Amino acid sequence: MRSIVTSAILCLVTGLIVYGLVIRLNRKTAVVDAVKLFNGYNMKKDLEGQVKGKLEFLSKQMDSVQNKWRMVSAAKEQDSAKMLSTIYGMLKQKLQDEYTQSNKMINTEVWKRLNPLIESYGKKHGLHLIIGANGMGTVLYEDNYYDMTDDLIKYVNSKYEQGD
Amino acid sequence: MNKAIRVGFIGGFIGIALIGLSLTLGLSSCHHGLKAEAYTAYVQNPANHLKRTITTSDLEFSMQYKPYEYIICMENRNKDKKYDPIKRMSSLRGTAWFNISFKRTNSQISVLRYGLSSLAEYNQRLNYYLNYAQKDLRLLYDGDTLRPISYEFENNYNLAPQETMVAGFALPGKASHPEKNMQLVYYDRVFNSGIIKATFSTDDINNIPNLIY
Repeated sequence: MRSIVTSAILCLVTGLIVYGLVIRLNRKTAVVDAVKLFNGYNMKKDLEGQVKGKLEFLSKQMDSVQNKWRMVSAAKEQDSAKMLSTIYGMLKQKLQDEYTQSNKMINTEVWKRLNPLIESYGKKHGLHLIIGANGMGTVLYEDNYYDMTDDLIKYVNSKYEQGD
Repeated sequence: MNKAIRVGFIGGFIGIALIGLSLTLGLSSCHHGLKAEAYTAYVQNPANHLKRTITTSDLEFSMQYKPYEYIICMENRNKDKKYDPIKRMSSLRGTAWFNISFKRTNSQISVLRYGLSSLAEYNQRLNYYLNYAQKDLRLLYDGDTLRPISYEFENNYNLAPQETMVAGFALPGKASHPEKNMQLVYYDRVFNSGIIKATFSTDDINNIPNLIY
């Protein structure tokens, strides 16, 4: 009688362990390279394209002032050189500010769009966890088994272009 | 006499053939018809891809393509007898119309009042939508980038959580209605949502049922 009870308890415990393992194995995880995803998102490229023209214009203005400044300095026209030096400094600062601000804006806007898309992608694929690898040491090693970066890039770009 | 019979016979045959041909063409090209209420529901149903919804972290944008028949249904909901749908239809030919709506995802407060720091900021936002937002709208159609020929911001005076912009574009060439894939693009400068795009395919447009008016 005792051996029957012991066997039953053993069977129950084994069953619970197997059940736990099955549940654990069913928990799906994915790893996504956050930098690759950010750079592969079409909206980021479009926004950069919009800003590019403005930055190039400022850069050309700066080059032109710098050339004039060099010429005036060579001719030893002190007053003009001083004025052009000030203008050059202002343009350089403006270019730096514009660059920093546009980078910040692109970063904000892209993540504002990516976050809900990553969530919907996770739900669609029944994922319980998406780990963002960003080269800062969050993920120390992964083979490609859990890597869904390319698939996610395709997904977010299709949603971006189609509008759903 | 014989000649007259023969001419009559040939004429009758041609007439029957023409009727048959037109019926065949009509049946093969026509879709099932819907009455006004069902028609508007069809156009507004996201499953039919004439309305696209884009969600950001805090906002939801909807881009609704409006076929001419849909505009007529919406304009004449009260069944005004003075309303002339044929005249209105001809005035719409060669254009494409869209509603661009936006609201906060989890709030009933007007989106224009979201995250404000001052009244001046609110007025600035309102001024942008009333006068400048059209510059951030464009339609990509068959390789062309079209700018709005008509734009209106439906100011609801904070009575509804959703705000709507209405934009119309003139189609290039002699197209009487959209015949190519269209992509509506809006750059949201106010809420930093980035570039909002919505694609409307010719297949989805051709699948729109006829309106039974």
